[in-house]
Amino acid sequence: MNQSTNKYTFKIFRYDPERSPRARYDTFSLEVAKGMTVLDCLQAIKASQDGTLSFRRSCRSAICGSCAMNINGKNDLACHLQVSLLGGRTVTVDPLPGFPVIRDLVVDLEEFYRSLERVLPWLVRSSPFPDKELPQSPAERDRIDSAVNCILCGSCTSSCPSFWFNTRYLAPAALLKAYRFIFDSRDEAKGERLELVDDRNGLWRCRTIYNCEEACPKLLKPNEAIAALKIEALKQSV
Amino acid sequence: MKTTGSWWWLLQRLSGAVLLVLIMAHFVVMHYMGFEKRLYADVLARLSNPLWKTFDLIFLSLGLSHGGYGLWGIVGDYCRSDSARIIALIAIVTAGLFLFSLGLVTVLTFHS
Repeated sequence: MNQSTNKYTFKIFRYDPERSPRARYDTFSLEVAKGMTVLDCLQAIKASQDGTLSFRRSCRSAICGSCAMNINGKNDLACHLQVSLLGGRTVTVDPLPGFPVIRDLVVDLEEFYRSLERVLPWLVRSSPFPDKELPQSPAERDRIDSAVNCILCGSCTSSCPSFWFNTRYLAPAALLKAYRFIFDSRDEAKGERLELVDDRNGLWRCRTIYNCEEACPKLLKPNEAIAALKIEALKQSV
Repeated sequence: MKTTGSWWWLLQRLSGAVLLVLIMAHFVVMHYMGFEKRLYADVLARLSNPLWKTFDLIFLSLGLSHGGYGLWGIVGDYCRSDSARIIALIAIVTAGLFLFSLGLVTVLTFHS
């Protein structure tokens, strides 16, 4: 293949409050080899063109969730998305929407983690733990299987218009986490958790927009989880 | 019992489902059964019928409660301050009650 056909233009959101209060886009041209991901390209740009470019990354295997960003208008993991799969020769990279930007592609996830904390994201039991394992049947595990796979990248919450309007809304990631424990057969705090999500800024702010499901790089279904939680909250209030 | 939204959520879905049927019926009646060409006397006859009165009252109350709760939901999305929420709630309830009274008077007192 002709080398010039592998040239891509990267239009990257830049913001450095220590230098300027105004954000801008910088454009970089890069040769992209077959199989390179957006993260590979960002690292190449940082290494060879602009060392000040800031972004988060860690595992490079789509399991840590650090490199979630908005690529060509869609939230995704930069380490998981191959450039060749994107249409066109221009790749626009923005920070995750809805969160305050700290610098370039790095966003402040404080509110995200705070809402996660509100749903008690750990196993709660009043009865004592058994000496060895705490067994769970395959059917019981299936119920929460997809929710367990959430990597907390923030793509869903960042894509949720209800969260954009109201950052105190628990938002899809925290509600999915609540679902993961409420429907966990080993957990014993179902009532307490349901009370926490049955809140003015909880479950009922979901408008079933489905952005969260489109944005999830792990193909999870936060919307279905929220619907199940609504029915469970209703059952509890009967 | 602590609940902030589950019963309202259920009511909103049920009223939405019933309204869908009522709106279709209303649409068919108004546009495909010749009412648009009829005279005052025909409308008078229809509105004097107790069954139509019941239909209209259900339509009125469900439409207003569904719309009012929908508005309240939008207020919840955008409105941060408690005082603004209270003002919005009073406005929605007052407007709803006023429109319901108006509809009630029209439907109940309308006779030939």
